[in-house]
Amino acid sequence: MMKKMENFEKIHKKKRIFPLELRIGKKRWEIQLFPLILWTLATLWVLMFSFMLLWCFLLAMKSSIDATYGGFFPSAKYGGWKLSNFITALEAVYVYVGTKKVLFPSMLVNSLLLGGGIAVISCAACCTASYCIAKYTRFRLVRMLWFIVLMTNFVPISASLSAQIKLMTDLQLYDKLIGMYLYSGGAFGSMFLIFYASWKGLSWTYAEAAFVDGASHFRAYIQIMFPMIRTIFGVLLITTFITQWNDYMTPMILLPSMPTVAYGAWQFQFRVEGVATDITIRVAGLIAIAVPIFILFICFKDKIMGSLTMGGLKG
Amino acid sequence: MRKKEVSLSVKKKLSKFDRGAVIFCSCLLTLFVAHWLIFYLYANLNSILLAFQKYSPKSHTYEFLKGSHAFDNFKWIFTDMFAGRNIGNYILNGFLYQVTAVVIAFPVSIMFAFIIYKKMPMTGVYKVILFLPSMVSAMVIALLFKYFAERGLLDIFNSMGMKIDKIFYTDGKLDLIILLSYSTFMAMPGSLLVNVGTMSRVPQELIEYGRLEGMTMFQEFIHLTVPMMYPLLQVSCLGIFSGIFGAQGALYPMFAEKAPEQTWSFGYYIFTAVVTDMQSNSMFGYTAAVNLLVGAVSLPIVWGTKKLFDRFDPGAEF
Amino acid sequence: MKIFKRIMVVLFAAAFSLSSFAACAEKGSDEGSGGDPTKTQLKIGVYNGGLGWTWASTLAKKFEEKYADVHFEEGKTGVEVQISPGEKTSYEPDPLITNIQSGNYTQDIFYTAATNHWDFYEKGVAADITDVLTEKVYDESGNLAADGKGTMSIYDKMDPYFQTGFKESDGKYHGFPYMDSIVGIVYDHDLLTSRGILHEDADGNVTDYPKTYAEFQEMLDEIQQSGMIGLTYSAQDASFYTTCVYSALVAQNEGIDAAQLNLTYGGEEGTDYTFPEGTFSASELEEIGGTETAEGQTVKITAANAYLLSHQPGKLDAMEFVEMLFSGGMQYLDPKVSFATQSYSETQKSFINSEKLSQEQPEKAQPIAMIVEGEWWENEARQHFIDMGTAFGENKYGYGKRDFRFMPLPFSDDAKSDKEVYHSLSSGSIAFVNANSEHKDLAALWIQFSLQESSLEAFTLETGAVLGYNYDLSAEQKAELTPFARNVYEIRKERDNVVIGRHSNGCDFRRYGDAAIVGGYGDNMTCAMESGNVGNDPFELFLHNSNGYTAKDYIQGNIAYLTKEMWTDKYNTYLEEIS
Repeated sequence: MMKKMENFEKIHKKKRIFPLELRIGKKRWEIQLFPLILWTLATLWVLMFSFMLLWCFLLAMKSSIDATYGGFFPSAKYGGWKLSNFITALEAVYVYVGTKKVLFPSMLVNSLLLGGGIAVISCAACCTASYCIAKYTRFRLVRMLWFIVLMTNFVPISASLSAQIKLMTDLQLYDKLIGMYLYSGGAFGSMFLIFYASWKGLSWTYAEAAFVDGASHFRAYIQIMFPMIRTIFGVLLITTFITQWNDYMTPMILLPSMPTVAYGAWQFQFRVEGVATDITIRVAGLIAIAVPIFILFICFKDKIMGSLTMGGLKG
Repeated sequence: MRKKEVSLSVKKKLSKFDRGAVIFCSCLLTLFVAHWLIFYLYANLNSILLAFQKYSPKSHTYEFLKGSHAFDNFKWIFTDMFAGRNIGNYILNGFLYQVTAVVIAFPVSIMFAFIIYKKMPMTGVYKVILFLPSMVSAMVIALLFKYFAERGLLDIFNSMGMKIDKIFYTDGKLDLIILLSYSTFMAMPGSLLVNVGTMSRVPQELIEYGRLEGMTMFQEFIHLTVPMMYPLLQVSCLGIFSGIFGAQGALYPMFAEKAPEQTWSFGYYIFTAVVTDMQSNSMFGYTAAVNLLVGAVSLPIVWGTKKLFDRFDPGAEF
Repeated sequence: MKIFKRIMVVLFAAAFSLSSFAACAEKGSDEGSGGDPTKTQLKIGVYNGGLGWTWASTLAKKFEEKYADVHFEEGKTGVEVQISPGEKTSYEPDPLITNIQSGNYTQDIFYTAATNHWDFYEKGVAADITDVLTEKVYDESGNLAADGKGTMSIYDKMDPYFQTGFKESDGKYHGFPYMDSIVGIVYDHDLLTSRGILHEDADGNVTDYPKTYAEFQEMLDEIQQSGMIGLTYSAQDASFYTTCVYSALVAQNEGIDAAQLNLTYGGEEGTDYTFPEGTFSASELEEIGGTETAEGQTVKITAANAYLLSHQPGKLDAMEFVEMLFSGGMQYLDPKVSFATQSYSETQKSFINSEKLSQEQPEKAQPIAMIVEGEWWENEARQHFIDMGTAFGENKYGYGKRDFRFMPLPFSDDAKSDKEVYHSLSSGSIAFVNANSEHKDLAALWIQFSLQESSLEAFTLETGAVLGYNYDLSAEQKAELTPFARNVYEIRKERDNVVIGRHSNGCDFRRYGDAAIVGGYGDNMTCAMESGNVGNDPFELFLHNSNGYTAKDYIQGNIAYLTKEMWTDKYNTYLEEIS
């Protein structure tokens, strides 16, 4: 690393066009080429994506006739801005569990319970397992567990649906929330690799310092090492929650009595009867279903994206 | 204490703790391995056995293939690959979906994360919008794009004087280009949180030192940030091979079972054979055999890739 | 910004709390939990498709009135009928059967869209209702006899096709036919007559429907020259509609009996079929046990050699008709046909709106003359008509104000029959009593009540569709129907020259043999192949015809796929399994 830093001096002495200096009044900006290119690329991406969302939002606000006859914006001639499309769409988001009709608010609760529980359990499991395998490599058996990791992540054998149901039924866990928590508590999934990468980037000296002071392995993990990685843990907790929120297939198969928002959305999109067949209602439904998770993100945006720094080694 | 004395003392203490380490590791790992044995291995065992079974429509059950027919499902795969359906094209399409995601989208995602991390102008808004594809269900985004492409983009193109009849189901190449572009476009934000989180682990002192020495952002990106991202890059590359056989792009969310055949990937073909309305019970053995074959080939390749990456790991550690 | 965030947090928390309360209080309008404790509950699940389920709610009220004072259970008087609409995905045969078996679905009666009625019997979810169907409860008018001693049963009212077709292998009935809706080409009568494409007499009957394929193409050319689009359909959602059109074309060309050989495989005794002269060489003919006759080459078709039916000339003719529709770069078809977002609903909307939209925004749309749809379509598109009526005038554009009719399909030049064929999509989908039901007697009463004359009439008046039973509407009732529903009624009940083609009477080998033989759906009468891929829908094959195959290529592909060796292998495997 020091060698690389030495090279900076040599590079610095070469003459360049960039960085450009921009002065407006008393203010001065330094514009470098590389970040300018990246920023432009990102701006283009954001503009294109935002335009798509805007178009969809406007379509969702139109009446059925307006969607056919109107222009870009909702037209007063054909009914104007139809906020009611979102309400209609949410009312059309339902799932029948037996003869009971489960509506959107219940699905919201189910998604929160399921997503939150699975996120906590799976993150904790992956984090702990990856810590052991990343830091205790002197034990051969621990190193050999990499085989399990590779098999889980890169060998595309997936249990058939009927096999999954049979297993859960045999274990008396089928159609139970606790069953879903246990099912999703695997420690060797894709998150393992991210935690593993993070543990690998974290110096073992922290733990050694704790051992010297008399801490046990467990205590060193909980009180010293884990706090160093809490940011990544928090990030993955949220991303796992979001993934679980958007997963419709697994809850549909293994927890059919508690339909989630994602399953409701999936059913809604492929419903071939009722108001859900109207394109404006479908698009309104898609947007409305995405709103809760969007609000969640806005509320916790700073927690998610701020404070992404870690303490460095001291002394 | 001197350094040598410290390290001897530390070594002595560590050897005492070896027993503690063993207890710590075995208590935790036993739990996780047991979970894996039950919920992964046992569950998948049935699928592995399916590769050697055939569905009987009369008895509505699966029966083991016997004698010379034991490997019929595997024979079927090779027949399809070389003499039947366009399996070769499917695999090629899967390769394209996977490679564009890794080769084009992944570097761009790192760069997007970099400008977010550097808090460039307007990135406060950008990070919300860039995070939307991760936050909102991929199915929702794909469906919104489908409606936008056929109803919105078409009108825009026509109003600009370009006489275009349709966006999808035109001919094979155009459809594939559109879907590849969409997949790549949506993969560009990538795992924004993870990327930014990893980048933020670079010590500020090092960056400040670099600034004082006249380091540009590009140099910071190449010499500090990318080495930090190396493990993530490794993880992405490990999945390339098996991803070729699993990648579907946005085919199912957009088209359900009716994707234009020229855009099918191998993963989509297998998925529709097993899960969707096109499924037939007779395909379960076939798809199980496919999974087994791909797994058998993937494992050594993935292991080798990991060893290769470990060899070139810059070992950036802060 | 902080205030904004606080507001968002409060909103989220409120939504979360409210949803928790809402979850506790949640109840749909017609689901089966709870109900009036003083009455016996009868729970009925109705597939929520084109015919909807409101007809069942209307009938339920009358049923409750009729039996308001009857004690079905101790301590209870009367009956409360709870109707729950069934989603398409959950009323597919497999999930429905699984849910009934597991006890998740506890309805007493199910009305489905499933055509494989034998599966429901074999999996033990459909109760034996032979006595219900054969009990003579109706008087001469077809309504429930007042004294309970009738002269007619449900069985007597059933279409003869279902009398045999719905009998299971145990000789009993485990269901009764529900949907039997025909599919065909629906045209905008007002549009085509106003533009001079079709002409009608003083009674409003069209006098110049195209009778041959050439005439049909001429009509399409005329439509195109008038600045209109000939035909639309939803390739995304409704490809099984187009297989019905193809099947009807084959049946018209071959005659219904010869076409049905594709389902029955000649029956138990085999059936003679005459191929055109020169279909087989002398040695081939000898090998298959055929003989040269004056009419051609006659072969006895059985389950062992039914693959020979791929040589039926009527299939080639029908394929050539479809090829014509897609000719000239799909010049006769709406470009939106292959849109990924063109659901069946959008297609209907597009068809309904096309004429008006072409007036308002001529650069954006052309009028569309025809659509491939079923007899339920007008009821299904009701909301579109209501929206148009609201926007542009109820009298001209509202529901039931416009004249749509089924276009009789043309005949090939070599057609062996002159009967008009309309193919039924569902061919009598099954309605059945849950084998686990605790109210089978009450369910029996409902069935008999729902299939009496007045109930059948009410069904047709409400939905515009006709059920596969013997009943008639009076002149006054016919006048209440929309023009399209009236046209459907006339086709099904009043025209002598019409045959309804159905497909639920497949022989045992066809039902249980390897699905690869007949393709994914198994509803149609043939399967046309393309380079080894099994294709079931000729319209689909021509829509995505990047290789430029012709009708002959597809039929040759069919013949090349269904070889004697392949068929024999499948048949022998089937025989082994059943022995």
